[in-house]
Amino acid sequence: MLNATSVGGVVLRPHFRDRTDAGDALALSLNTFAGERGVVVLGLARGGVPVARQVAAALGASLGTLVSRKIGVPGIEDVALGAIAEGSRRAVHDAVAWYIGVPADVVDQLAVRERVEIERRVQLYRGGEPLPDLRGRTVILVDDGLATGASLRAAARSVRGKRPKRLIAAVPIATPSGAKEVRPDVDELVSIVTTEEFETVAASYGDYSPVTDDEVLALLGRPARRAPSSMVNDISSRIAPASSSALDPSSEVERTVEISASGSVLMADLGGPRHVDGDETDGVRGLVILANGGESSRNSYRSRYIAGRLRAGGYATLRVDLLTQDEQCGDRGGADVRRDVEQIAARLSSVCDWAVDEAVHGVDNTILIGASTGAAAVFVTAARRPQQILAVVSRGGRADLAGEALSRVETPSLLIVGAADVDTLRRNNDVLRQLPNGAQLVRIPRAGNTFAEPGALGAVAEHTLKWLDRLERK
Amino acid sequence: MQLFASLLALAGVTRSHASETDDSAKAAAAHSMLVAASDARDFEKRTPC
Repeated sequence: MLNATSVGGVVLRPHFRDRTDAGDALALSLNTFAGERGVVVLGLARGGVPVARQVAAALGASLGTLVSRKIGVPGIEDVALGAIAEGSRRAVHDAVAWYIGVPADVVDQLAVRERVEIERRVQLYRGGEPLPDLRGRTVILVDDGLATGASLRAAARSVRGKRPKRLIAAVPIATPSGAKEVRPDVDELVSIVTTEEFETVAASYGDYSPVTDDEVLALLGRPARRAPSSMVNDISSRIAPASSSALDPSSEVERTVEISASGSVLMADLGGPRHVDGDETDGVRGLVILANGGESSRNSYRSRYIAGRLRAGGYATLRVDLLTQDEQCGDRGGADVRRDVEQIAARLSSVCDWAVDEAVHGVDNTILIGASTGAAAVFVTAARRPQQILAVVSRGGRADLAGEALSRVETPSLLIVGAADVDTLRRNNDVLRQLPNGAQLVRIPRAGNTFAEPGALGAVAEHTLKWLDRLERK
Repeated sequence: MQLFASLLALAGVTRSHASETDDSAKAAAAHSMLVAASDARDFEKRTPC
């Protein structure tokens, strides 16, 4: 019996028990290739290899592996913004990168980290040998699922360069949008389930345990062994630990903390700075506290991306919900608290105290970013703590609710507003007139209140980083 | 000539419309994926609600 999960009230039932089960089912869809000579089944390491093994065994085909790595969105690493495969120099950029507006040079820098991991795996799985000769052969590329399609597209382009006779991509489950992205790069795409009701690949499986390197080696019929110690040492000094990356790589750089604030317990995530290639930075440029006032939680993708991008820029980040969990539910006085700027500002002040008491890296240069009513709280807090707060940013927020505190703000301030968010723009223009000279207002073209338009969120992050750069140089 | 130009203009409009529709679908898919990943992480928020 496969256990169901509920996401957003929708009950989702896994389609497959595990990868072996998915591989057996996929083999049935590929049985027209059974017994055909020269068929090569390549499983995408690591998750695709157990699926590919079942397919290869059922078809009587030879089994191999191809290393393709997704490039995770900063702060939301479980979503791919692109991918890169062995034998290919260029990263495939995904629709997610375009949608967020991640600059191309940032994607390329992120790819550097993945290339190092690709080298390590090729060394481990094939002793550094290149892919077998695929010219004139039928190649079936197998993965355990297709979400954005970036990994499969990168793999397909790498295999295409080897001039196979026919290139098939096969997955147990796919999104329609991901399938559409992959089709131009292959001769045929085989998917057992193609569905819009797709949360994550993991949710499609009863058991989606990470596949280890040793398991890959065993499935490929190779002895378990390690890469030469000199190489392991070299790589481990350049990349973050990979053991948990299959499920939640962001946990490498952030940890959840509880902060007591005026009798309430606030939830927050604290993360250290990390270069986009994965290396820890030598120094910390500052601590950015991202204060969410309730309309948007700290775990919204907007908050997570901006925090991830700032960490890549050398800042420590603290994403905090100024409303308690009960208040966020909206049925226990949440709306009242949300409008009580004094109360949420007092909470933010407690968060600042906590950061000082805990000697959080970068706390001497604290920057506040506020969204929704959190924007009012950051300005009130900046007015009260001019010595600690280095800069203040409002991300489409209700800074106007800070009221008379605005006239007492001495801290450099940046207001970022969607140009199509007319009401907030008008209010923020009023705020700008009340703030000291030097405060800036940046309008993001075509963007609305939540910066959900293509490129808008990326623009918010890049404007913030560039403004902080300029501030630091002064 | 004028007819040819009109046809070209019409084709341009059609292509442009198709491209906008395509972009909207791409944006919607990317947005859903990001929201799903964020919701999946928000265990503590969903549980008490």
